[in-house]
Amino acid sequence: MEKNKIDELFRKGLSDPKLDFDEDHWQDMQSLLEKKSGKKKVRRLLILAVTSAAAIATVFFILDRNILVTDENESFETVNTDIPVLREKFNGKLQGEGGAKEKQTTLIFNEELTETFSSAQHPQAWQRTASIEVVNSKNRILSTGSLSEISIPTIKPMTRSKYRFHPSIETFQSFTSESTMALQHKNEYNAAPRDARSVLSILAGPDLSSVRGSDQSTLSENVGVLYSYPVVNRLSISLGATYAKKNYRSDYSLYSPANPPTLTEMPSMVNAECDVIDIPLTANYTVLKNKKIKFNVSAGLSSYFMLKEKYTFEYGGSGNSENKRSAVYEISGENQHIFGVADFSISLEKKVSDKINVGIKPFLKMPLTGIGYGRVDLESKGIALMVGVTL
Amino acid sequence: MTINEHDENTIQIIKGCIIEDRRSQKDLYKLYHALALGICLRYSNDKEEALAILNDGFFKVFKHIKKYNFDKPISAWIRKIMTNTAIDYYRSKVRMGAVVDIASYEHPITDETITQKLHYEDLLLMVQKLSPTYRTVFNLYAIDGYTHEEIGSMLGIAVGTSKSNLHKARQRLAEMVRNQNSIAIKS
Repeated sequence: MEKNKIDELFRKGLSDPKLDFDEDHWQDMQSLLEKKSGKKKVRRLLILAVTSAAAIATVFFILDRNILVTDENESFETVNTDIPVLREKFNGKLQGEGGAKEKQTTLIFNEELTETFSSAQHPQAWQRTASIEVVNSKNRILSTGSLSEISIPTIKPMTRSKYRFHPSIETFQSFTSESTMALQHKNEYNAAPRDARSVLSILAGPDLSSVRGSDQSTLSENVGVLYSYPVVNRLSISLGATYAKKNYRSDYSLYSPANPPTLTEMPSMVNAECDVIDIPLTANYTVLKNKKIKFNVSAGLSSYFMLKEKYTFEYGGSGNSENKRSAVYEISGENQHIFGVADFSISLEKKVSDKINVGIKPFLKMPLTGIGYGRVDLESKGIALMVGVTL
Repeated sequence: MTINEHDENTIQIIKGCIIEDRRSQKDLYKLYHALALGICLRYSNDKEEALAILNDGFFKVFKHIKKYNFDKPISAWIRKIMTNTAIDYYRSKVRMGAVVDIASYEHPITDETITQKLHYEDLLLMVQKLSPTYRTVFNLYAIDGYTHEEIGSMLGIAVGTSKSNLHKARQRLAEMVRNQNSIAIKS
């Protein structure tokens, strides 16, 4: 039979199949649509949550900046006030440097300015913490902050002396007016960002990667950088880039590739070695902070960019069976999972110098979508050591 | 099945699919089920594999239907997506080393097929008996009208390899047709 006749025979014979619609086929299709739609909704919600958090944080940041800018643009009027006057004003509660023996809050202020002191209204609270406000002649607040972080712009030269401040309820009450109270809230609100600074950290550490449903975990390695930016009081956002070598071993039944091949024999196990760039975007909350130690909790989303994926499919059962065979399948740059992984971590940081801190960061990464060629639920639990530089 | 590609009903169905209306999706699926399944059957080993390709292909149709150009017939668009999905299946099989030599596919013709004439089912069975490589090249060239250059590009093979595979596919099919005819004449 001539070649073109073969083509013609099959073209005509196969071109218009009389195939009846099967409701079962649609049911399968509907299940597939609903499954994918559900995942899409979860992902949309997470993206919405992270975007909202980032937007709120940005608004807080902008508001905070505006307050500072307004203060700095204010023309500053120097009020000639000397220490004896202040002392009298505070009814003997202010004493010159070295004049007090009690261990109270140390206050630094400029002698040439008018100071008012305020704190929380409750005596127990303000006895522990005190703040300072710098006001102009119209009682307009020019600068606020805690005692150790007061900033006085535009005044040169500046003569400073140290005083010890012994606040009493009477003193506090005598200086507490509606305006200062209102300001106290702003003061507390703004305090953290002013001394907080961005940090660039280098992280490295191992993790145990496993496919959900498989009882096998395999050691993987991670190394990367993380940039953290303070947003509002105790809250910062971090963006990083980590190179990870993800190794995981699981049963082939846990694989659900987008285009499943029809195999004459099913593989028993699959060994995966994947080079991944992990881009985490997280919000961090400082739970505990003192001079040397900081404890943070973080949550966010990671995006996985699969650089190279190598899968070794094992056939013929496990062990050293004679029938054991394997096939290797490699792909590069075919899979990206934008915000496809939930990222949780805690970190304990210790300050070793003004600019350097070291810490440990246990982390957990949970998949929100199937990862890699096999669309597996890849989880990672690990710990990273980090060294941070305050910028 | 004859489908009026530009009637108001079809346009409404497509618009419904764009807003992810499940009823419209079912209507479109029902309307083009035979066309799509016919393509998938030609490119697959069996019905089970064809159904997997079918639904994966339709999923792509629903996902990308916003990009559909209303000026062109939707059947051609669906045909193209189904063919590409089938090619993706073929590629993944090749990558996993799952493409078995033709010998594995040379099953004897069953009694059931001997008693039949060369109808759709017979021809489909013959095509499905080809190795995945031969079958894919034959389908693309002889039935779907792609050139060897296009096939080479789609499958990642040389033009010469495509021609060679087509030649061998035709030989196999001719042999199967001859065998079937001679058996039918003897009986």
